[in-house]
Amino acid sequence: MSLKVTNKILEGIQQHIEAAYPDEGAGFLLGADGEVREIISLPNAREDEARHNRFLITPEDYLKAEMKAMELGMDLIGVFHSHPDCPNVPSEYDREWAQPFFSYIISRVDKGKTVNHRSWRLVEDRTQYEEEEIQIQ
Amino acid sequence: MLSMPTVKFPALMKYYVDNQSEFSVNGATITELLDNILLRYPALKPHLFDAKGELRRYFSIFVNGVQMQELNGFETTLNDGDVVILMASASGG
Repeated sequence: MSLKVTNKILEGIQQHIEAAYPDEGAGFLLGADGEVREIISLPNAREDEARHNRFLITPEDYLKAEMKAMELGMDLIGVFHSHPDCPNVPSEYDREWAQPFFSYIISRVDKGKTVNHRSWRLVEDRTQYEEEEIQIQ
Repeated sequence: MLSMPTVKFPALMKYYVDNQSEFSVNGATITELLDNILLRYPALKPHLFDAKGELRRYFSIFVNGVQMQELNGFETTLNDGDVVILMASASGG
């Protein structure tokens, strides 16, 4: 299992999550067949005091992103978000909210600078995540 | 007479409902509607409800554009022609 991305996509993610620091930044991955072709960076809709360790994409933004993906002939294939100043492994909270089939890129941001990106997918029985390789094209 | 609302799903969940984005299903209340959806598509259950039987937090349910909490929750009465949208959100931390 792997997720194909370009450096341009990763740069877009990096720009958004560093701008969001010390809060979590998030958005959608658009594409098809395990290949990210576009991202949609979104505001973190969580309340101010929770944004440092939680993110929320509202149903309204979710719906708009689905419509945008349809316009572009793509699908929503995942979500990216940052973990400011902590490891980029999924939390239990991440697992509770995880949706099937999505790739979840989690990026570590230390002191405002992106350290690295890792991608995860929920297994079908929802008990855990499996890491997937990020293939940079 | 049976109530037969229309249900709309997020694209991501289409895999579990025969690749449909919307369909009609019987249900006089939201609870009945969800029960009948799961009778038809049992593989959807773990993605719709958590281990405690509660609706997963990434779903919000709207009836004719109004969130069910502003109506009568799961006991909201449904009628023919009503549109029930299972709208997803995304969160994590």
